[in-house]
Amino acid sequence: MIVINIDVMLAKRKMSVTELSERVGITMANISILKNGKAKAVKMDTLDKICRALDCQPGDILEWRPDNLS
Amino acid sequence: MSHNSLSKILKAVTVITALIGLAVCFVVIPFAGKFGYFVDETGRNIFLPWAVFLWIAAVPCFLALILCWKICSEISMDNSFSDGNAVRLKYIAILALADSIYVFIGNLVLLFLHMNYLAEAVLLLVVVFVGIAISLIALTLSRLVSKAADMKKENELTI
Repeated sequence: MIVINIDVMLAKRKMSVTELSERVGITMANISILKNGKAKAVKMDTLDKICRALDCQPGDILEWRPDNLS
Repeated sequence: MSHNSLSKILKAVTVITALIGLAVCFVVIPFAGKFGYFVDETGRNIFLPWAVFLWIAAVPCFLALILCWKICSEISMDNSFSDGNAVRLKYIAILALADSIYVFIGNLVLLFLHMNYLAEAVLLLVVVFVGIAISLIALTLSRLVSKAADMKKENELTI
């Protein structure tokens, strides 16, 4: 499964989850869905806004893990 | 039209339909038995079986109206496409089909017992046809709502 790791980038950029949600324009609930790996799909537009807000590449926050290790 | 307005209108129609049903069951049928249709000896003998037959046939209709009320409540919460509504529509389809089968069989039984007239038997066949049509439509809607609910869940988990 694909996991979105935003915690490391948030720490590097010294940004809170609340500030990220405001910059990206998505709710805290949706951020939580992203972090918990429950999202079914991520729009390219959302990924673009997250990378722009965190000043990073998609590969910095996207990781593939085998399902039995998730 | 907002989902709240639509829900209120549908609930009002459901209540009016239920009141009409109750009026038919507990006012019109007894009135027909006492003063109207069943005036001769033969008529009085067949009134009670007919009344019981019609009252039992009305039960699935009232159950379907209760399910309809619950569907309207979901609509008012802006939750039209839900698994719950899909299941309720499926139950409405089952109730309509069961009622059609019951009316069809009851119609034949009353005919064989010479408690039915040909005109009424033909009219009841129309009722059976309407019931089967409602069952098919409700079953189709149930499938559509189920698919829509799946799409809605997927959309809600698309960030």
